[in-house]
Amino acid sequence: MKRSQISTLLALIALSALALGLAAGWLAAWLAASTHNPVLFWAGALGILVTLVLALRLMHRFTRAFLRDVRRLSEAGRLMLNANPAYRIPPEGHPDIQELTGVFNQLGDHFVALQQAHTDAIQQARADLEEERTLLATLMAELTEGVVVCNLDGQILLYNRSAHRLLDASTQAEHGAFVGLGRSIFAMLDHNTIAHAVEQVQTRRLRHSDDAAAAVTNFITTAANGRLLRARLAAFSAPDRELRGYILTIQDISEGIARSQRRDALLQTLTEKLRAAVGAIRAAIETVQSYPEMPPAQRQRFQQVIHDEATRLSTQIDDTLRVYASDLRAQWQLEEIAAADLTWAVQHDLRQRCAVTATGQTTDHTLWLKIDSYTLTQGIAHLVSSLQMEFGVAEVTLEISAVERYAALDILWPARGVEPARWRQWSERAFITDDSDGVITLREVAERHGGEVWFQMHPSGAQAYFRLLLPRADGEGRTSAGNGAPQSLSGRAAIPSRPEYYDFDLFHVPGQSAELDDRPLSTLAYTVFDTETTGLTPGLDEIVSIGALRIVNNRLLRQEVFEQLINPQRPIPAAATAIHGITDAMVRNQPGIESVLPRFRAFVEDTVLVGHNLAFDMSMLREKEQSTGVCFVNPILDTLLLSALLQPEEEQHSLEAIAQRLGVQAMGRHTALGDAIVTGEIFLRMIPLLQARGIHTLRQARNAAQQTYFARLKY
Amino acid sequence: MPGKVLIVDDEANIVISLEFLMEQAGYAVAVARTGEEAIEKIDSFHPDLVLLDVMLPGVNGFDILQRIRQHFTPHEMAVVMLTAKGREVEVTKGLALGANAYITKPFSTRDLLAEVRRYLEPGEEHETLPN
Repeated sequence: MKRSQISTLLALIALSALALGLAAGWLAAWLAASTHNPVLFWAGALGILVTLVLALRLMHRFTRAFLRDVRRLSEAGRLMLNANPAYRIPPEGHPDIQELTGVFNQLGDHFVALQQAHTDAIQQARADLEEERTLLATLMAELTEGVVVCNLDGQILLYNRSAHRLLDASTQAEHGAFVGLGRSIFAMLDHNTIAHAVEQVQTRRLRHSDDAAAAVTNFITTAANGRLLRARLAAFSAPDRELRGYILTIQDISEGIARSQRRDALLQTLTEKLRAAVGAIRAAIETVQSYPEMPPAQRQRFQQVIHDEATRLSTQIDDTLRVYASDLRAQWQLEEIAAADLTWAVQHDLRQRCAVTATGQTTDHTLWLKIDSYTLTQGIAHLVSSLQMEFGVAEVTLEISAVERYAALDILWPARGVEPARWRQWSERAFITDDSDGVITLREVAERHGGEVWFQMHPSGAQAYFRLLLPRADGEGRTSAGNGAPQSLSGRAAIPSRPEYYDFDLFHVPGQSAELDDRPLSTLAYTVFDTETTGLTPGLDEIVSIGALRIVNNRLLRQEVFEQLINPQRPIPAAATAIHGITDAMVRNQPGIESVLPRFRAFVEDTVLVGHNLAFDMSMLREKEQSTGVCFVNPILDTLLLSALLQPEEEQHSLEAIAQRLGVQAMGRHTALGDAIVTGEIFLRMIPLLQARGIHTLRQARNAAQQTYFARLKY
Repeated sequence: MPGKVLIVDDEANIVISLEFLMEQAGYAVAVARTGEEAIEKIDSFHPDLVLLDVMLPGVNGFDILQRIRQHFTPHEMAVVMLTAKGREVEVTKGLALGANAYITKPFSTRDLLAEVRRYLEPGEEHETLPN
């Protein structure tokens, strides 16, 4: 007999038993009424009651098995299909439902296997493309010029590190622009200037269709951060020759302009001073010549004038040359060099030039310097030849070591046999040069590098040395990630090795200025954020940290983060520190909320705010509206409400629980940025789930979220 | 008819020569070393010609020139700008403000004297400086 037939038989038996029970009860009650036997009556009533209870239990099991459990199954199935294929449904409830769960899970396994095969194939196909992209990103990162690629709406599709450094104003001003993918270039460069350049290029392309040079134009502009930039705009077009966007190559010329202004000023003052002095001298000489008969006392006065003015003239020339020395020399560029290479170069130079043996000791092989090696070797050679000439020193030792933020270059020599006082006298003279002879002293070397230099004697008197502090190169120049970008607190946020500085898919994304509410969720730009606080009472408690990052074109941009500790101007309770790890000491030297919020508003501009349990964070921000004057009018989406909307049968909607269900690894939790990253990942996985429920636009998502139970909770 | 010359310059060393030259040429000479002093001397001394430096402490030469031209025509009171500011734009500015001549330092004393005589003794046959 088949299982379904058994079920039907069992159901028939159950129904018959129910009918029999009711009938027996009714019969007993009827007999009791006619025979006036109370025992029989109570037995009948009890029978009916027991039968009804049994019937209710049966009903409950049926409802649970075939209504609630089926709904749970379909939710879980949707989850597996759209968001987390690795999710497996725990077997619960009626054996039939459990069996169905097993089938679902098997299907899930099969689906995952198929998907894996699919992913492998795609990955294989993408490997080459990825390699090219990495190459492009590396090339871009290494360029000293800033490169920005924009679509015709001015949205940034690519930028390199130098462009970030040249254009970013977020650390300068409270409302300064952030450089980022999908953000508008017009917040950093003048709209009219760019529009004019694009127009120029377009006109030229029409007139000289085959000339590649026609698609390029140069201009000079001031960025919003005050830098003076020389820019080159090159247009690029689709195969159908339609203009699609432009590449901007930018260079900072502020420094060059400032230098030439200083040179102008120098020429100006020099000319005027010279004219005045020479004027007095000439007038005096000519007067003396014109009146040869003048009394000797009078003649003496004129001779004195000539002498005084000539002396003044030479002092003026010396002073001017000293003040403007660095401007008069050719512009020198600092280059990066490994300490070991520098030691070798100096040794080689000394041997060639002064026939002095230089032994070198550079123990730190990770140490790099940022120097003008020509000036440096000249300075050292001048010093060593002076040592050789005056004291007959034939051997020096070079040592380079790291001293705090600097590299210390020591030039040591045996000092025995000469009075320490004489060494000191000589060392003072070693810094003095005549500007006209072109000799470079160590002091000049130090000045040019923003460093320092001093002379020291070993206490024993056996050795003397000069120590030169020079800049190290292991700052922004050589590290690959986060140059100029807001710094991570301690690198907790998982930042990928290759920066995500470009997204050419943005060519197809319309600007953010369009009406947001009716735009599909997948095309919007979002800022996912979280705050850490001193407690849970808005109005009483304060924000101690804000972490945020953006989602543009369905990607979480881990490179463009906002992470800021805030001084709450009150002690942080131990209970709060236990949660987020932020102590009073950590926030002591941090800015207050009033200077952080304007920057944060600039960061979130034109995006939808996303967070988990946003009602709390928003009320914390709203508390500060009055005192800071900063309002957040962005539309918001709360992942807590969206989770309740997507999985109403689930009881747990904490960030951890949702992350687990959606297969998101919750790393770096309980830091504002860590939580924001997890929330962002969760939100990205929710978008297809929402679409599967027919929720496509921001308006639909907001309306649906407002219907959930959690939306009615107030802070 | 010899005239009156006011020398306005804060550089003592050039004033020595100018004063000597003007006196030798037979002019009555007064000296002012600041802008304020110059304004005062213009009122009290009433010169026929002013040798005026541009860079002065306090009120500068261009300001003084403007004040002079508010009350006197170039014919009534000649102004010879005598300055180390030699940029073309400044020469143009001085002449536009009503200076009779603009001489940049260093200058030839002979030329200067000739210029002064041109304004103070017009029409006369100017004798040259003794050699």
